[in-house]
Amino acid sequence: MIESKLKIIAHELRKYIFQVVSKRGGHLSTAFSSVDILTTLYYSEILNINNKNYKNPNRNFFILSKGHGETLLYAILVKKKIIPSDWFENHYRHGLNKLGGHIDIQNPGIETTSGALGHGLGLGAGIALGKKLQKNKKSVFVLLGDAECSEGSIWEAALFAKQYSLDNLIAIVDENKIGATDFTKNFTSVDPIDQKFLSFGWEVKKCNGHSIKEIYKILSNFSKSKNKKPKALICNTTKGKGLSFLENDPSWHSKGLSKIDIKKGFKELGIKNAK
Amino acid sequence: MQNEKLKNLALRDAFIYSLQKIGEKDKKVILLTNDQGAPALDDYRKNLPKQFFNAGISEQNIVATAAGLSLAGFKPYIYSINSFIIYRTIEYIKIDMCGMKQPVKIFGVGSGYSYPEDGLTHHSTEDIALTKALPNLDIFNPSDPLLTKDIVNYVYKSKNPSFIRLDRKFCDTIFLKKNNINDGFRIIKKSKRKEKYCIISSGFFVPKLNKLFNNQNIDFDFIDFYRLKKFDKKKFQNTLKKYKKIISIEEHSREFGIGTIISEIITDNFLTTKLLRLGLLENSTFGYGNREQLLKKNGLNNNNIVMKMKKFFI
Repeated sequence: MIESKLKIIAHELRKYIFQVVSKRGGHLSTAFSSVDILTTLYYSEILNINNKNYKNPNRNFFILSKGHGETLLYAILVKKKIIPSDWFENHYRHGLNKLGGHIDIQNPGIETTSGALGHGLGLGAGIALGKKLQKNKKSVFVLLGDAECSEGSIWEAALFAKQYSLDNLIAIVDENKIGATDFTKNFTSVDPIDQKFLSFGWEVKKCNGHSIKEIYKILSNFSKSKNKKPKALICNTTKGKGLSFLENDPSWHSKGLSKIDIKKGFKELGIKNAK
Repeated sequence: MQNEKLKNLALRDAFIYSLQKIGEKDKKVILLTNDQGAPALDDYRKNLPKQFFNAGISEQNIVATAAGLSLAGFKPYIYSINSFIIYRTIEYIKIDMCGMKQPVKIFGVGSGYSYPEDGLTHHSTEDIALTKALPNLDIFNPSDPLLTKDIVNYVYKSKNPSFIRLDRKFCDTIFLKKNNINDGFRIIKKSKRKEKYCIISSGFFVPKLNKLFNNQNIDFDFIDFYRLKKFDKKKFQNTLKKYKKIISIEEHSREFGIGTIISEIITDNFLTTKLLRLGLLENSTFGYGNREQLLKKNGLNNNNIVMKMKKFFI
């Protein structure tokens, strides 16, 4: 893993996403919250998914449980040449099209349908159990939102994964401390979430969710570790990270960009030519 | 297991024994439960310990995990109490099974008033209504152990996500011929009368009514309608149109149960057949009692049924 290279990719993804969202809309602040996590997964050898192997049964799985991270995942799958760029750049979220506002398994490179929260960890546990039974050493990564962890089914899955020693199941929590409408501390915060996973018998690590170096190190170790414990990495993130007016502001979960916002965004991100 | 032995089992045990037979040959068969027991299950666990997982009381997670196992190439079966596994998980069935087209098979025990003394939480009297509109889902309501076995064998090969609702009580085997599951219905009794009347029922009520009708002097056809969504619509329609009058009888809400399905076929095909729908009444579906008492509350005790039948048919 060359950290500097991945940092550049993450920045390029932010630029690309901003350009597309400025035309087609999307979950911008969520995408910017998770972009460093997914860059580390998709652009290092940890996940090792490309347009040749994404259907291979002997692959690592990535489940986007927080289905409103679709803007980011589509962008990555376009860059990986798994999804055609035209679908995303010209048709995303408009009319009858392939790519909607939450992910669907019918699309290439998308492992599960999501948008209703709380499904991903159970689905991941099932795949991880299947891999164990097949004596397949590959891992299953599941990206959860911290607000999503209010769903009881997450904890049902956490119990199951521990009971059946699914050490190949790796949950990554994008802990930006913001839900759809407000800071989670103002409603049902799951903080301290690391303690919760620990008490469920999981191996837990915390890191800066925008440090590719830290994320890489922990996930790399997690995917090699066979200690019978499912793993959770709590990534401390900032929702909207990378754009000053977007950062840590709950109102941006689904708000559209104004012309002034677009102009400011282009300037801050260093976008020269509008796509 | 031979048919002679299966005939004497509860539907739940007929299901588990039949599945065990398949699982012995196919290691991809996995049975998940939410802490449910059954005599046959003890046998299954002993013989196929690596193909059994108790997922604890966590219905949402069982459906998601089963769908995950299916994504990994396995053939997952869920065994649970009907009211719990359907009502709690309807969104999981919609998305993880139906939407993602994962052929998970749910066997829910305790359809209708199977747990009469346990009340509201255990009655499963709206589950057909809840599941019927879900895309891709195949729904079965078997009425005896041999039909249950045939359905287990059928869904094993099927790519459809499937829901099989089973009665908790023993149901007499009344039909010994081989079942054609593609039809989705079977004619139990044929009348010699010129003017055609028919009773259509499903599940637990089929052996119960058969016993009742054997003691009555009314001549009509009797149909067991057991596959409630992906049945042979053309064949069923052609069968229905022969009748002047039909009565549907079910231990499920009158709202969107088998009576509704039959009425849809009549309406959609402009049939002239008259239909009387007997089922559970909206305000009488809950409460405690023995099964006959609960049925009586809904006007579905034997005497009432005979009375309604005579009034409508004669």
